[in-house]
Amino acid sequence: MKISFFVTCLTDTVLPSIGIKSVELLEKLGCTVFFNPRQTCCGQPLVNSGYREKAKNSMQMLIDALLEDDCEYIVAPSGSCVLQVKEFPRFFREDEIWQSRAKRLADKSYEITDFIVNILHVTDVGAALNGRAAYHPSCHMSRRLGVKEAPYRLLNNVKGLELVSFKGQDRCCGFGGTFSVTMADLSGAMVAEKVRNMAAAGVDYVIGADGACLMNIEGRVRRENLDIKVLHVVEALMTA
Amino acid sequence: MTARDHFMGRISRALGRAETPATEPRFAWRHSVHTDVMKEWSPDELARVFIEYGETIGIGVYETTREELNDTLRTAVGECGPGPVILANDPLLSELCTADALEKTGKVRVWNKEDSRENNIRFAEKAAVGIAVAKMALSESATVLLFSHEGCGHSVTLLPESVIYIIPKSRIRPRLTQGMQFLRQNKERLPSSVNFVSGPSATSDIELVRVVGVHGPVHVVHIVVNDM
Amino acid sequence: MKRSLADSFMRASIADAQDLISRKREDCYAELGHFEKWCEQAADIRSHVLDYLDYYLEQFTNNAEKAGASVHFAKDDGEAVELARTIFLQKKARKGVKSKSMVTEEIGLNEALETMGVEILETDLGEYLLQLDGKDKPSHIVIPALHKNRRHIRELLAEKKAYTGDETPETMTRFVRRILREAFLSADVGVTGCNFAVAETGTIALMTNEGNGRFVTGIPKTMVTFMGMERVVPSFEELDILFSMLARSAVGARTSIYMSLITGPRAATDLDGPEELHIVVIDNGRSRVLASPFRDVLRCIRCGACMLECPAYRHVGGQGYGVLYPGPLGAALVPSLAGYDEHKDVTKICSLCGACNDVCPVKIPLYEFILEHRRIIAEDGKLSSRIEDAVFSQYGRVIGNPACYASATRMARLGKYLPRVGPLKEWAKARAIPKIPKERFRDWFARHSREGGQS
Repeated sequence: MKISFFVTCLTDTVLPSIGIKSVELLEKLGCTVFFNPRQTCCGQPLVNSGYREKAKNSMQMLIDALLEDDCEYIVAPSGSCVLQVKEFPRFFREDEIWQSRAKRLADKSYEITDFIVNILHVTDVGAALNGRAAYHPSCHMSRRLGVKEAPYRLLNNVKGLELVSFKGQDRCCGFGGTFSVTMADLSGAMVAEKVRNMAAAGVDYVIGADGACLMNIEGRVRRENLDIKVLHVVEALMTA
Repeated sequence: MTARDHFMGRISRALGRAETPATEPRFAWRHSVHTDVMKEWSPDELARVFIEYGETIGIGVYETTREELNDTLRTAVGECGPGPVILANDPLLSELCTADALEKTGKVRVWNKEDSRENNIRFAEKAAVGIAVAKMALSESATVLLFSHEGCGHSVTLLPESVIYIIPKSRIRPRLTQGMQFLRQNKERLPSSVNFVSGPSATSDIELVRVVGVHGPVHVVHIVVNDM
Repeated sequence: MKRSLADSFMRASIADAQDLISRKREDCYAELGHFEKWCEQAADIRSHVLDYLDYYLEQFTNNAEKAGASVHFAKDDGEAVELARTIFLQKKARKGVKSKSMVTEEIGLNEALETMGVEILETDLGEYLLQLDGKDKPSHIVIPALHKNRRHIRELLAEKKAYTGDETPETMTRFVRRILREAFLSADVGVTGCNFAVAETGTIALMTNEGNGRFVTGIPKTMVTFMGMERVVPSFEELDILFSMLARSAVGARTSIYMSLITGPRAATDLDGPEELHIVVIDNGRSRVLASPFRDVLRCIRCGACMLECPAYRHVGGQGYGVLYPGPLGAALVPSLAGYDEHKDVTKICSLCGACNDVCPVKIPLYEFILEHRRIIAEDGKLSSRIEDAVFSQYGRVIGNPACYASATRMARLGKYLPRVGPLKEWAKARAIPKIPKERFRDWFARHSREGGQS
C-alpha cells in the first residue's frame, strides 16, 4: 500500500521524532511510505487567525506535493492538519480545478491512528510501555474531525500501559495556535490547569495525537519540573 | 409610514424581500421526540412520577379523595403554620364549602371580586396559606397549571408564605408538551395570565448555594385527589 | 482581562459553576434522551422563525394588540429608551420593579430612567446585588453575580441596607425578600424582558425561578416588556421545545420554577394583574445580523451553556470579555450586532476548541462564526492590525515557497539563540520553550530512503 506522508510543519521542524516513528510504524505495518519534500504547511496558523488568502499558495503546494506520487492514501500524525486539508475543497470553491484537486486530496487524507485502525484494520502493533498514562484528546481531532476511539483502541493494546482518566480530560489544553502567544496569559492559565489535573492523577506519561497540544503541554510540564513524559501516540507505540 | 411599517420593512429587506409575505409560512416538524415522552402512560404512572418528583424538589404531597379533601386541607393548612388563609373562588371549593370547613383553623377569605383590589391584595399579603385548584398538572416536572382570573388573582398563589394546589388526578398529563397543546386548543379563551408553577421559588445566585423561598412562596403543597 | 485572570475567587467560582452545571445539564439530557433530535427540532423552529420574522412579528403584534396590549417599535437603544421614558412619564411612574432582562442592559434602560428620577429596582437576586453594588456588571447571563462571594455580599448588604445578619445565603436571601416584597407591592410599573413572544396569541412568555417574574407581571398596574425582535415563536407548541431546552441547557433543570404567559393586560373583572401592558420591540442591530452571513446566531435562546462549556470563559469570566454578551455567544454575535470597529478583539478570546458547538441547543455554528469574523477582520485593511498583517504575510511567503521554507526551517534550531521578545516571550510566560532538534524530519527521511528505507 502506497502512502504519501504528510509530516506537518511542526513535526518536521520541532518534533521530528513524531514523524520518524510514524514512518517506521507505517513501514512496520507493511506500507510503502513516500515523502514529498515540496510540502510545507497546511496553513492552519494563518487560516485560524483569519488570513486564509495568504495561505493559498502553501495550500496549493501541499495539494500538488501530496498528490504527486499518486498514492492510495495520505497520512498525517496530526488531526488538526488533516482537518485543515478536509476544508481545502471549501476554501477553493471559487476555482473549479483547484476545488476538484482539493477534494481528491481531502478524500484520501487520514489522521494516523484513524488510518491504522480503520483502514489497515490493526489495533495491536505489538507495542510495550510500562506505566500510567493519560490520553489527551485534541479538540480539533476529536470534536471537529471526529476521531475519538482509534487512539484508545491502539493504546489499550500496549502491554504494560495503564490508561487513566483525569479531571477536565476533554477540555482544551489552551494551545489554540497563535492564541498561545496572542492571548498568552489566558492560554497559560488553561495549560496550567490541564497539567495540574494530569499531575493529580499521578501519571508517568501524557499521550496525545497532535504535536501542537503536546508541545504546549510539555512546555508546561517542564516549567513545573514534573516527572511526566509527553509522547505522541506513535512514539508510545514504537518505544520497544 | 408608521414606526411599525419602517421596522417591519427593515426586516423584510434584511430577508431579501420587499414586504412581509401575505400567506402563513408552513413549518414542518422533523421529529416527534416531545410527543413521545411518557406516551401512553397510565394515570397511576403519571401520578406516581408527579408525586415522587414533586417530593424531590421540596413539595409536600398529600393524596386524598373528594370526600376527604376538606379534612386533608385542614391538616395541610395546619402544617403550614398559623395565620390567615386565602382561597381561590373556585367551583370545586364552593361545592365542597371548603371555606366554612377551614373557618375553624383561623381567618379564611375567598378571593372576592366584589371587594377592592387593595383589600384582596392586603389580605393575601398577610395570609399564611393560599389555596387554588390546578387547571392541569404535568407529571415530568411536578408542575401545576394555573389560570389567573376574576376568581383567582395572581396574589392568591403568589403572596402567601405557603401555597396549596389541589390537583384532580385525571388532570395530570405527561409533560409541558401536553400543557402547551392544551393552551393552544384554548387559545381563544386564554386569560391574561397563565402560569406553570413547579415547586417553591428558589435561587442559586449566591455562590451557587440553593436557597428555597425567594420572592414567591417558600412552601408548596400538592394535594392529589385520586377519584377526580 | 488581566484583572479577570488575577481574580482567583471569580475564576474558582466560574470553574465550580461550569463543573456543577455541566454535570447537571448532561444528566438532564441523558434523562430526556435524544439530545441531538431535540436540538435539531429547536434549531429548525428558530431558523424558521428567522426566515419569516416579518410575518411572525406582524402576527404577534396584531394578536397582542387584539388582546389589549400596546406594541411599540424601537430601531435602536436611543428609541427604546425614549419610548420607555414616554411611558413612564405618561403614567407618572416614580418607581419600577424589574425582572432580569439582557436586552434592557443592552439599551441602558436603568441609567436612562434614573436620570429622570425614576427608581428602577432589579428584583432578580443576583442582579439586585449587582445594582446595589453600583454599576457592577453581570459575569454570566443566567447567574449574574457568580463572581461575588458571600462575604462580599454580606458587606454590601450591611453597608447599603443596614443588614446585621450572618453571611449564610439563606439569611441574606430572606433579608432581600423583605426589601423587595415592599417594592413589589408599591411599584407603579413592572418591567420585564421576554424569553419568547408567541405569535399566534400575542403572548409574552417568561421563565423565572425566584417568583419575581410573577410579581412584576401580577401586582403593578402598568407592565412594560422589552423584547429583542428575534424572540418570536409561532405558537405554544414550538414554545414547548424551546422552554424544555432552555431550562435544561441553562441550569440543568427539567423546567424553570415559573413559566409565566401574559396575554394582554388584565380583564376588566380581574382584580390584580396589569391594567396596561406595553411591549417594546427592539432591533438595535438585529436586522443587520439577520441580513448577514451570521443570521443563525439570532437563533440563540440565551441559555448560557456555551459560556459554561468554554475553557476560555472559565478563566476570563464574563466581565473579562468587555462586552455585554460574553463567551462564545459574544464572540459570534457582538461584532455583527454592534460593529467590528469597537468589538473585533472579542473574537480573539477563543482557542477554537469547538466545545460550544456541541452544547448549543439550537445548533448555532459558533466555531465557524468566530473563524469567519476573524477572516473578515483580517481581510479588511482598516480593521486588521498592521503588525499582524506583516507577520502573517511573511509566514505566508515562507510556507508558500519551498526553498524559503527549507532555509527557514534549517535556521529554526538557531531559535534558542533568539532573544526572548515578541511571541517567544509570550510563550515563555507559562511554558518552557521547545528544544529544536538538529535534524529535521525531512533530513532524516532523505537519509532513511538513501539507506534503503523499508526495514
